Amino acid sequence: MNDVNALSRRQFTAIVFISLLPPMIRRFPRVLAERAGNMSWLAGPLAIPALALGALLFWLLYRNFGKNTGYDTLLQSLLGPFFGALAVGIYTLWMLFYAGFLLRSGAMRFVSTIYPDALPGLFLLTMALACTAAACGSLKALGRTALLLRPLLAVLPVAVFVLTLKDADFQLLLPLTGSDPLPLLHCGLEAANLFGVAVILSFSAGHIGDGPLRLRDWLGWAGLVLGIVSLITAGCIAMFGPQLTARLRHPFFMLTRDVTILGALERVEPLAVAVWVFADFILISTLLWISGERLRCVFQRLLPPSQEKQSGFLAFFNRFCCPLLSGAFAAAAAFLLPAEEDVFLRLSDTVVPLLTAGLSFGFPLLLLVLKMLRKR
Amino acid sequence: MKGLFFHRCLCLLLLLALCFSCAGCGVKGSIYANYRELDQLRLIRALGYDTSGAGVTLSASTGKQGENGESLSLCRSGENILKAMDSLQAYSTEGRLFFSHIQHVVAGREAAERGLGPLLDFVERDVRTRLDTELFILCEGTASSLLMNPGDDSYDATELLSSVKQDTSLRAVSRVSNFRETAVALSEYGAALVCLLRPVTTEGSVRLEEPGLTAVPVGYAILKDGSMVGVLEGRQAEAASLFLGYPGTVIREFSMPGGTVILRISGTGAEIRPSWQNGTPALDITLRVTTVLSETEPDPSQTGQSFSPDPGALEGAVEQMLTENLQDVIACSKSLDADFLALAKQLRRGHKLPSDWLRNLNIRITVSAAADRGYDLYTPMELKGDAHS
Repeated sequence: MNDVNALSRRQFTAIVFISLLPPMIRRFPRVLAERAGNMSWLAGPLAIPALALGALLFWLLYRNFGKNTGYDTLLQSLLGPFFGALAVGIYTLWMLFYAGFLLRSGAMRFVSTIYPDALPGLFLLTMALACTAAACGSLKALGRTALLLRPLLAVLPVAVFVLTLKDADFQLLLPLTGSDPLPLLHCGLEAANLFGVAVILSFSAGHIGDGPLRLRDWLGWAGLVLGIVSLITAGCIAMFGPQLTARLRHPFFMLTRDVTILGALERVEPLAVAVWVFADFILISTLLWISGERLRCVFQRLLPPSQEKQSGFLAFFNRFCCPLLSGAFAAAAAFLLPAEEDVFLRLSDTVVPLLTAGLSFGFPLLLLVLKMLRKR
Repeated sequence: MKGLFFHRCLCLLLLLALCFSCAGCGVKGSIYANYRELDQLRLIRALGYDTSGAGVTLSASTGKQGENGESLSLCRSGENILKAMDSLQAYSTEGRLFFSHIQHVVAGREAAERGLGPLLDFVERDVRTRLDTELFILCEGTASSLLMNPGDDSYDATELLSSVKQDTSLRAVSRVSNFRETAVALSEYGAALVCLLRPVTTEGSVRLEEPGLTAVPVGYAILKDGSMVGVLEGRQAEAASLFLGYPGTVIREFSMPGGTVILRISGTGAEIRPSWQNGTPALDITLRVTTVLSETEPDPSQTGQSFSPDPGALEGAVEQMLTENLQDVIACSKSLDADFLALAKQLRRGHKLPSDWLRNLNIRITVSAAADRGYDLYTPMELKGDAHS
């Protein structure tokens, strides 16, 4: 394994933790409040059973494989060279589309919260260039960056929640009734579906160099993600009520807009939105890096062989063409996505979550069934 | 080494490309589209909202900018809020109006009766406005007359409205709420209470070079589905404040044998116990208040006798009075079918409320008053020229 791209377990979990934040803020707590009203703040704890089942699924799937096997290796060994490559290709296309979707979603977040007179294309282009530059570098650099950013991104939602406590009406979180469990179950599944991003990022798990991933590496950070989901949902409902929360585009940033720090500092929501850009950066850059690696595998036969004494241009071509291609594909996907907000919203609330669930949980379940059938 | 060199060149090229998109080139569409220098901005701190058949009239006041700065007040009309704002900007003679710092919004009576839906929607939707902006409704007149005629330069509309907030924290006649609280109450309970102001002239009350208008809080405007459908004033407003646990004290006068007493009454909100009787909701409301004897006025006809009101009798009088006031408030809520007291919050636990639950709601009110103390005087002093002597 190339040492430049070797990740530690801490770096990998930091990347995964931060990468769960953009999809979280895009849909939560608006979608949760739409589903379960005042009880939607229970989505975090209610996701635990689904996540436990998901963890069991992947434990059974990865059993008998070497330590820190990447998801691509698993696919190819279970499905064979042809279908394995096809599956990896589908996942790569999904990653490129998802990276483009995130570019567009982040740009629209900027425009709708801070810069109403600006064009989303500007933010899209800027982010695409920054993430492509990062994808051309090493995975380890992304891991180190994620470790640096993790405390900031973990503390921000908690800080906003604490600052809004004095104006919150926690009676709006009640009553808790079990008369209709389906909406609550739906909320739990929505929260669990967030972790589908972690499955996609497990393509890079093969680069973890300091030992196998253990359950305790995950428990703390997974618990923090679920805690943040419940915290921001409870904060928004206690401030805005469930009906207004369900109507707001970005309830969490609206919550931040009303925060006043020590009676002196107001309008801190641009700061919160800007900090969230780091989460977008880590997720999109990692997706582009992984896609670049997959494209390199696909084009390996077409590329000249990599040699130690290769001339500068060929070495450059070998190293950077695939990440640059990934960045270009993602940017093209972002620009080609529909510009109308209501169409994009439907895409964001239905198509993307369903595809994430299908590729991250549905397909691995089929793989597990295949594995068990083969054993017989 | 060559690979590292090319990597660095590539990163430099990408960063340079990034710089073009982050620079100020192109005012339209860039992030600098809404950047202005601080000294070019005039911060609007108070906004007045009036509507008529022709459209919207907005009045804006900046308040005093800096220690010796002057206040700027503007008033313009438009077909809708955005056009009125554009018109305000066009008529501004000093810099660019900055609406992101609005602290107070005053709505005229006619605008409130027509409906504040467009205003609420604008504040919720626009990135410039904040949901914690305070909302006031005038019981008479227009918001523009209040914001444009504060009198001389000793105070302006923003100071006036800030002082109202201070005032309501001491007196329970009203409470200043913001757009967020109003929007939450309207979406959760269908009705909300908003601070009601009465514009009054300063002439004869405040010494100013030039008399103008000020505003005093007189109670609450009742909003139902975004429109003003009624008001709570005077004793009803004070009873509602005590019921809801708002800060401030109520001053009441009672005639007792031997004279008149003036009490200061305060409370921490009502305890509410819901119950369901054969599918009909019922509430058992207990309001505990404390009273402080603030002044006594002995009966002039009872000379030579000291006046010491009986605490038990005082408590009984307070309880009876507040019970009647609360019953009036709840009767008002029922007659308007507007749950501005958020009673549904207590009844929703485990039950689905029928559509006419408020009209059929059975309520039992119990007020418990405790005569706490009488400040620093146990008995009044006997002074020459006094009724006692």
